[in-house]
Amino acid sequence: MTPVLEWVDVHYRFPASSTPALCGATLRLEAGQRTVLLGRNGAGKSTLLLQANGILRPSRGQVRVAGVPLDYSRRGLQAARRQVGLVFQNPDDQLFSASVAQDISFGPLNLGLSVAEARQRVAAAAARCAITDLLDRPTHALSGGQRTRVALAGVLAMEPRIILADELTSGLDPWIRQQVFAVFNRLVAEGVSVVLASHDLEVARHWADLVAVMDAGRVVAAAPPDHVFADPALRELLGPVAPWGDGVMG
Amino acid sequence: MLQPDVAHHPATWSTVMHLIDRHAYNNAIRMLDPAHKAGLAGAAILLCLLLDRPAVGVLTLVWMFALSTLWARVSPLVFGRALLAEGLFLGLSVAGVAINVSLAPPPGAGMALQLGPLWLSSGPEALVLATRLLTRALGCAAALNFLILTTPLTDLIALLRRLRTPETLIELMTIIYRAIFVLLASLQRMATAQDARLGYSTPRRALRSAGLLGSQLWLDAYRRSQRLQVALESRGLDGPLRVLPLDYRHDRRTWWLGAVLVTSLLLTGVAR
Repeated sequence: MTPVLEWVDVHYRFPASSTPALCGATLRLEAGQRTVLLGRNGAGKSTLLLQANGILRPSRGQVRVAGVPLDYSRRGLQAARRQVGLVFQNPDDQLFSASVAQDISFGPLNLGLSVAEARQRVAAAAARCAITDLLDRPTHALSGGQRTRVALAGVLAMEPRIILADELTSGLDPWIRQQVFAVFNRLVAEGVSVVLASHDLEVARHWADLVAVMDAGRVVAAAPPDHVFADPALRELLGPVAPWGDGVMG
Repeated sequence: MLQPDVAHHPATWSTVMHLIDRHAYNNAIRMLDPAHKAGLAGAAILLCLLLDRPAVGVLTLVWMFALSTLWARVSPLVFGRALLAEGLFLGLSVAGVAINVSLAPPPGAGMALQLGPLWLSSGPEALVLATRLLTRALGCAAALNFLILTTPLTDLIALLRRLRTPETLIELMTIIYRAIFVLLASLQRMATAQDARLGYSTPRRALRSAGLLGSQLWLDAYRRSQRLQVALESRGLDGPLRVLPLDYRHDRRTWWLGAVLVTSLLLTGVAR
């Protein structure tokens, strides 16, 4: 089966940086898969995600969407962004409009849909994220959890085949997290591939089908959670399960 | 008692903005077509300027107060507070017109007061001019208050788009309006963090903290703008920021209100 998204030996270095952010990252994702991307701060998780829809371009290696190498022309990028949706950790980085409905409509209208179709997409995405009652509210009057769901709806309204969420669930209360995971589970059931970059080992262990571990710009493991957590070297890399018990600073 | 650090704390600046915004979103005529509300306010401002009589200014003020409180159900206190701030500012500016300051005793009739080497004087013409200016400006300010207290900026931006305002200007307004609130939240967080470390304990420290805050906020805004650009591109930004038009309510009564408002102002303006 063709993977929906594939990074093949991707290298990348940020312009003003002396160390590479990615050096030979390789990972493949299937349709309808739940992936958790683990790794320490600075391991390259966010950089890897930004390569997936062409925001960053590898200096070497290739990104393939549905088996086709990413085309960095304007039209090619539009096509990639139609299929790969990226949700950011801080919803305030994504929401640009003071009107919730208008913000969600941004993606669908960029896809060239008519106003009537965009309205339908907005309504459907809002229903999925349980924010229909917020559509007429100003963005800045929403709570953090509500803004996160609005940001998610803004990406879902484009109906991507792959959703990449960068630390989306960190900092949310358990109830909002439950709602976000419920949305993810429904997407996965429809064949969407969901990737969550996270530090939450429990989510990786219990929710993921595939756990990808990054270290120093490489994907050092990509396997079902049981395999990853059974490997002592990877366990060591992922860090303590009970960080409050180690007294590292003392 | 007012805490000494409250007045220096930058976070107190944000409340007025939030107050106006909250009423703009929660009033009885929120969903009325912004073109109609802007039409009413615009007509009042135009007549206030053209007719240029104190009575017209005062009547406009009364009209706008009535429309805001009775029709839009905005609290009279809020309308009053907004107008008071503008009134104080206008009063100070008009004082310069009404009162003449000189080193020599003023010639001619009128009131004069000596304060050390300075002479403060005023005459009937100056007072009439000051009254005309003040009432005219207050009438216009009240009309603008009616508009901003009943119409969220998103609606005003949508209206400007309908009026074929250049797209670049519309986009700037959209992003700046959103950025104001995001940056206000940043500012509040940073100021609280400074305050927690005694950054506002004395006026001197407060000045220093506020300076540091300003530079940090600028950096924060810059980083945020880059992240916003990435997020917008991820959602297929390709030229203008396209968003859905909003749906508004249309109310026939607006036309009647408009007609009565214009007639009453015109009658007051031309009556002898």
